[in-house]
Amino acid sequence: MGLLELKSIKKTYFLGSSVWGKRKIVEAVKNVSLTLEEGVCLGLVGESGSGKSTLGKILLGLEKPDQGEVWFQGRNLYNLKAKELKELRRNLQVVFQDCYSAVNPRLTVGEIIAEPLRNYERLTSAQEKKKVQEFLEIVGLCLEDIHKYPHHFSGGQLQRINIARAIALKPKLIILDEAVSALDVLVQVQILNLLAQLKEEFQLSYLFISHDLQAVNYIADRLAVMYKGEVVERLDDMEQLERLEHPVSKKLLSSVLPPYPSGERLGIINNMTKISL
Amino acid sequence: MEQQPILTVNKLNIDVSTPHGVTQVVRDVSFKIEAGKVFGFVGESGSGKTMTCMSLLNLLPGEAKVVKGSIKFRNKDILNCSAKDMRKARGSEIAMIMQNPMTAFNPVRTIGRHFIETLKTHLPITKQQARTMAIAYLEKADLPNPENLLKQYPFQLSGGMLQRVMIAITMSLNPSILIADEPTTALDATNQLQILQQLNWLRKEYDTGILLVSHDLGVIAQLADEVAVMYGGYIVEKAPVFKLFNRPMHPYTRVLLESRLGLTRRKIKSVQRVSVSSPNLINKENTCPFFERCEDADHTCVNDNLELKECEKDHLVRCVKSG
Ligand SMILES: Nc1ncnc2c1ncn2[C@@H]1O[C@H](COP(=O)(O)OP(=O)(O)OP(=O)(O)O)[C@@H](O)[C@H]1O
Ligand SMILES: Nc1ncnc2c1ncn2[C@@H]1O[C@H](COP(=O)(O)OP(=O)(O)OP(=O)(O)O)[C@@H](O)[C@H]1O
Ligand code: SF4
Ligand SMILES: [Mg+2]
Ligand SMILES: [Mg+2]
Repeated sequence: MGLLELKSIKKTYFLGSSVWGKRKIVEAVKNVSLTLEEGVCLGLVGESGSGKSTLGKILLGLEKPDQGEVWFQGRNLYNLKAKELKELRRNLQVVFQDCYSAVNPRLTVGEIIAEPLRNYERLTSAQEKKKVQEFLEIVGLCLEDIHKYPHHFSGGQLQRINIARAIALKPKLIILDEAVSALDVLVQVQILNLLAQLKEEFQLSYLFISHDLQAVNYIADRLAVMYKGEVVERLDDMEQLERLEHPVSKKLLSSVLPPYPSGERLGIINNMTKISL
Repeated sequence: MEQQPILTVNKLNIDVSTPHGVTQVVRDVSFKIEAGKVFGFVGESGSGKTMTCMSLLNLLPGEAKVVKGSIKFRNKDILNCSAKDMRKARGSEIAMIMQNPMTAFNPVRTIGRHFIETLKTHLPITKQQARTMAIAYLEKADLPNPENLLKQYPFQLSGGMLQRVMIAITMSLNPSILIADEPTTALDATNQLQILQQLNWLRKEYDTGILLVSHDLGVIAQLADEVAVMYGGYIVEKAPVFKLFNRPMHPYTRVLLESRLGLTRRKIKSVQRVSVSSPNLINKENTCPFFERCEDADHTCVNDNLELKECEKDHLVRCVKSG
């Protein structure tokens, strides 16, 4: 049994008001089953609106599935007492794309990183300070940063702070939802390298959600492709990326732009066959 | 023959006041946008790209202010334009699309109502004429089933579709300049390609000049004619797209280009050389913003009169070691 098991997860949203008869049903996730083993980074890709974030929220307990089960460390996440859930949640952390709204602007960096420690561990203030410093160093920030506030940092630095907070309790699994998508490519690579290194060091597992196939390919060990609420293809060996078979995966793969201007620049754009919608 | 630029930005400086003092977020930025051309902006997150875009529409947030420089649209001085003139120009002369199209739409209004109201604000036409026009432009943008699309609400469309609708609305007013700030950042590769195709068509068919901001070097490489690289509020390098990618000269541009992932799984190690600290945006007139992180830095860099210099034809670099 894996670290995380999803069994036939289903989540439907209802939009609009039923009074006006404009109610619309969105089947964000339909019947998804997935397994994530310890020490593995699973990349989850798919076009926008395919249900990736919804799935992530269900794993975190932020959204309740209509159907299906989430098993984490051998326990059913939606069948636990509050206290047990809290204990389990310390092993399950998250980093979102929007790094600014993820932190409380009135707390210093030291307080932000200490927050999960305070929730779970009883440390003296000296112990706490030592730990916070340790994590700041791990993510490549300096000790003076401990007294600064979020607005003193760039997006990339703040994302490192979010990562420091996520690893502070040495969790088992971190869900990274578009965690590097808005950053410049230099910072992206720095953070991806950092994540890869932390994964080795602390035997972490990641669910790396992104629409960016290049970033996923760089960090993930395995891949799942989502389309309209379903996992349509899986890959256990990233070296086989070019061999993806499902039309949706192939389309995603062939749409990745070469990161340099080539002779037939715009060719890829001009010659693109009309994509059916 | 030199083409007359539509938009000319000259030595633009923008300050932001914070409780901790004044930050210089845009410094000494100059560029031109010509009809039918795409000017690309790449650079560090937080280097002032969005601030520059907002200033072109006179839409800077309250705490930000242009302290020096000029922005000329044809012969109009944008910075000293009346609020009324500016409102008229926005959309019909200079239009903007943003990263998250959802924020540009009112969630309780249909696409049709958005489209028709936008058209009627800028053009002397009836509702029926506006509707016909809306359908025509959705068709031109290759969007399926336009009649039905007009009846839908923003939340019923995917991010990619919504962005394409946004561009169709923008197109219908035939602006001379389109500012596209990270138009594909929230989208998957397939949607991204469709948007780029649409933008390319817009500049070809309508001769629209486009300012394209993106942190995705693939996007810039495919569409931009000329590229500016921003770091710490400055343009540190500016060149035609092939020159910039083939012969990057500024140390920041070089390490940025080395960070391109592509679809290989080779680990990129060179980025570790660059420290994480961000540039000091407070004070330090004219010194190099990349100094603390630059591999090539030495005592000669503490030059307090650093300027963007032409190293070879049309290739400008802001570094003491170049030129
Ligand atoms: N709270 C909500 N209420 C109603 N519909 C929702 C809600 N959250 C998500 N949806 C819908 O569910 C579908 C899946 O959304 P989700 O955010 O999971 O997609 P995603 O794959 O993460 O996309 P993206 O790449 O754009 O982040 C979409 O159609 C979306 O509009
Ligand atoms: N409302 C604000 N108040 C104070 N500072 C701000 C505000 N908005 C932006 N800034 C600061 O101004 C600088 C430039 O920001 P800007 O949004 O233009 O960067 P950007 O190049 O668009 O970055 P990104 O690639 O992350 O979008 C940043 O250092 C940012 O922290
Ligand atoms: S001026 Fe000096 S510090 Fe700045 S980029 Fe050039 S070499 Fe590096
Ligand atoms: Mg998402
Ligand atoms: Mg921006």
